[in-house]
Formats: sequence, C-alpha cells, structure tokens
Amino acid sequence: MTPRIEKQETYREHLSRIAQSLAAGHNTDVFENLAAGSTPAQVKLFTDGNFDKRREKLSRQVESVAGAFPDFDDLLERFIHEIPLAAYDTGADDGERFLQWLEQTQKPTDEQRDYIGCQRGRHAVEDAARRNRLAHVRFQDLLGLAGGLADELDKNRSLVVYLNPMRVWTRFETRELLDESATLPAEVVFFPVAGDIHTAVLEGEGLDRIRELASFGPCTLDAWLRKLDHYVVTECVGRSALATFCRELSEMGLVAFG
Amino acid sequence: MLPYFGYAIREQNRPILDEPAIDAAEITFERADDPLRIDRYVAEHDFEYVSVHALKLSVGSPEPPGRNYLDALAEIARENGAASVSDHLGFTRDGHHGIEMGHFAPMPYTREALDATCRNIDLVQRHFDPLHFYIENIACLFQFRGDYSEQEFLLNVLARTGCGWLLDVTNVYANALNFGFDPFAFIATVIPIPQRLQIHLAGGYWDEQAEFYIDSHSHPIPDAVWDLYRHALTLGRGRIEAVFIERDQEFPDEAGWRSEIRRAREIAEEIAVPA
Repeated sequence: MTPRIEKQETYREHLSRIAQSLAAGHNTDVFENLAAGSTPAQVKLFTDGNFDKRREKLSRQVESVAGAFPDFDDLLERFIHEIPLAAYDTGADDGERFLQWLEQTQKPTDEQRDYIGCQRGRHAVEDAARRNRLAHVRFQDLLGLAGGLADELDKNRSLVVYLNPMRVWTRFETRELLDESATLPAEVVFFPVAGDIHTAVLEGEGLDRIRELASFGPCTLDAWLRKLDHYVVTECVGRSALATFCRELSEMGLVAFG
Repeated sequence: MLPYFGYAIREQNRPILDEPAIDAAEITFERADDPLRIDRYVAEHDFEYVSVHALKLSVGSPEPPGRNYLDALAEIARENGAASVSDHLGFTRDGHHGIEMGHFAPMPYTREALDATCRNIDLVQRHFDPLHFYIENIACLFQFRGDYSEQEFLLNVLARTGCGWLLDVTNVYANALNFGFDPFAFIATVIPIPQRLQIHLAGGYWDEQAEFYIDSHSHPIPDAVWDLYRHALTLGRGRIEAVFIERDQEFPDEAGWRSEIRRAREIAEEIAVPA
C-alpha cells in the first residue's frame, strides 16, 4: 500500500467512526476528535437536532400506522435510536424500514398488519412514480382530459383506454379499514390522482375487468372486446357496459382516455 | 453586472414569487423530490436563473457521491431549466457502511479530507457539466481537529477544483461569532479565488443558554449580516451570479417576504452604481 492510499484508508476509517458515532448519538466517541473551542454540548446540539428532524419526517412517512399501535411514539423513539438512517434516505425509505422493524419486533395482529399494508401501498405508489416519472406525468395529463373524452367513449371507436400505470395492490384480511359490507379478504388498489394517493376496493366482475385491461395493455374498447372473445368464453360483456365501467373508473382516477 | 435575486422556494413564499425584485429561484432538491408532483417545481414562473441546492452530495466523504443521487439532481435541474447546482462543504454519511447522519457536519480539515473533497468535487463538476457547481461554506455547531482552519481548507478547495463559491454570509457570521474570527477578513481572504459566486442570506438567533448563534433560517436577516453582504458585494463585484434568501421557520407575512428581497436588490444596485 502506498503512503497516499494508506492515508486515504486512514481517513476513510476515521470518518466512518465519526459518522457512525454521530448517527447513533454516541457523542462521547467523538469528543477526543474535537478542535479547541468545540464542546460536547455543541455535539449534542447537532445529534439532538438530527434525531428531532428524523422523528418528524418518519412520523409523516408512517402516519397511516400511528393509530394502530397504542405505544406508537415509544416505538418510533426506539427505532430511531436502534437503527441508523440509511445513506441518502430517499423518499420513504426510513418509513419502510420502520415497518419492517415493526413486523420483526412487535408481532402485529391481523388488524395492525392491514394498517402496515395500507402504508406500504402508499409508499409503493410513490416509489413507482419516482422510478417512472414520465409514465406518471403522462397518465396524469391524460387524466386531466378524461372528463371531456368520457362522453365520447360510446361513439369514438379510436379512443384508447389507459389504466393508471402507478397502481399498487394489497390485500386486507380484516374489516379494520373497510366498510362492514366488504368481502374478505379484500383486494385494494392504491393509485395516484394529481398529488394524492387514492384507494379503491375491487371485487367480482370489476376486479376481472381491471385485470383484463392490465393484461391487454392500453387498447380501444373494440380491441378489448375482441380479446375477451379469445380469452373468456363463459361470460359476455357488452360494449356499452364496458364503456360505463370505464367512465366510472375514470371518475376515480384509475382510467384515462387518449 | 447585477446578480439575479430570489428565494429558496418554499410553499410559504410561492405567493410572492411574482415580486418584481425576484428574477431567480433556488430549488432545494430534497423538497422538490416529490414523486407524485406533476408540474415543474418552479411551476409557471419563468425565472432568469435557477439553481438546484443539494444536501447529500457529502463531498467530504471518502467515497464519491452515488450515481442515482447525481442523476436525480441532474433530472430536477433539467426539468426546471437550472444553470447551476450547489451543495455544502461537509459530510453527511459513512458511505462505506451506508449510514446517514441526518445533516451535514464539517469534516476534519486534514490533508486527506482535502484530497477526498477535491476528488469528489471534480467528479461532481464533470457529472453536471455544463451546469456550474458551487460549494457552500457551512455553519458549524462544532469542528474537528485538523491541519487547516476552515478558511484555509475552503481556499484550497476553491483553488484546486475551480468550482464556484456559494458564500453563505450568515454562515460566515455565525462561525465568526461562535468560533471567534473576523468575518470581514474571512470573506476578503477567500473571495478573490473563485471565478464565480452565489450568495446566501438568512437569519438565525443567539441562543443564550448554549451561548451560540444558531443558523435556524427563522428570523429576519440581522443588520450585521447585511453589513457583511455589502462587503461581499463590493469585493465580489462582477462575479456574483445570484443572491438567494433562505427562510425555513417562523415565516414572515407577505410584506416581510417582499421587503427582504427588495432590500437585497437595492443594496446591490447601490454598490453597482456608487453615488
């Protein structure tokens, strides 16, 4: 090892020790490295401030789960002191790691698992939109025009039906977050509309239609019906019923036209 | 040449971004990085100058910044028509073990840290070219033992990399109060080196209990910082591209927002055209 590389390695180890200590709030570990004029109280100011900011941000990232655990604030506190923040801390990364930690350490009930699934669904939508921003923006642009085009669906045979590409599915096992009338387990879809995340519970024929559209890709109603002739022999879907269904999904923000 | 003037965009100052004194904007990357956002972060505004301000390049780390983070910054810059990118002279993580501290701290001002910092800034400049990169002097809550003072370290970084200096006047003021040096001399010594500059202005408060000036971006810009600002404008004349005001807490009313940016512009106009 050349002296230059050796020095670089020494710096790497030195900074690594400092960063790990400060990330964990183990302030005493860095006191010997402080310059004259810098005090342990100032280091505490730094690490306390970082914990405060992390707690605040993490609380926002897992707010859907907060009501499900009576000792939620204590759990947050334990987590931020046990598990250091991951490098770059992109999006809701810290929130996702907290949910994993909750599952591993708290043995959640089925009801609590539904809350966790709900929060995960929201994170997954954000993650999908981050990874494919162009598709997200394009669909939302189309959605902005969907109200005007929906009425043309019966006559304009060239209109293509698009399914929101940022949809994420999860399954609720309890009625904790559902109406009393919902069938269990319930298939729940999360999807973005403008800057918000919406949810819908789909079952029966509606769920089948969504799966068909997801499988067939963006297509006209006629192309959709032709494919149904190939794949489904047990039921008959009319064009008008399909158009009505698409209009309903469009009002929800799940389908757009172009 | 007058600099461009603007705010670091926050939701609270969006209503006054059409203020005639404003022709620039700074986008804090971590705020703009909202995956569900549909419009450009600068929205319908047609600013003359936009800069993207990052928090996690961690140029003081021994490891280079991650490619994904660099690409995400470049994408926000492209989407909003930015001319420059900036970040802080500090480190935020132990990249080797994938751990983030949560906020940037000053690295120990050693020769090895200087080598690593310059290597990272060179890489960052290559990545963002033709956008200009600016390094910001930070307000330190503490400092580590090292071979250089903050001023010497910054001078070396600017001279070796040729990057721009984002002169945070309030940070110079805070460090001068907290660590005991002359802020006018600090600026006078460093400002001849960079070819281009940006300026940050903000207001913090004196914490009686900690006996420390806290750079909280929560108060009006203090008179002492305005004095330093005049000093920087005079010495950096012709090389200052933009002046940004930062405010993150205890937001002012509309008149308050407008008055600080107007004052920043008026002072620059006075200095550009001496009476």
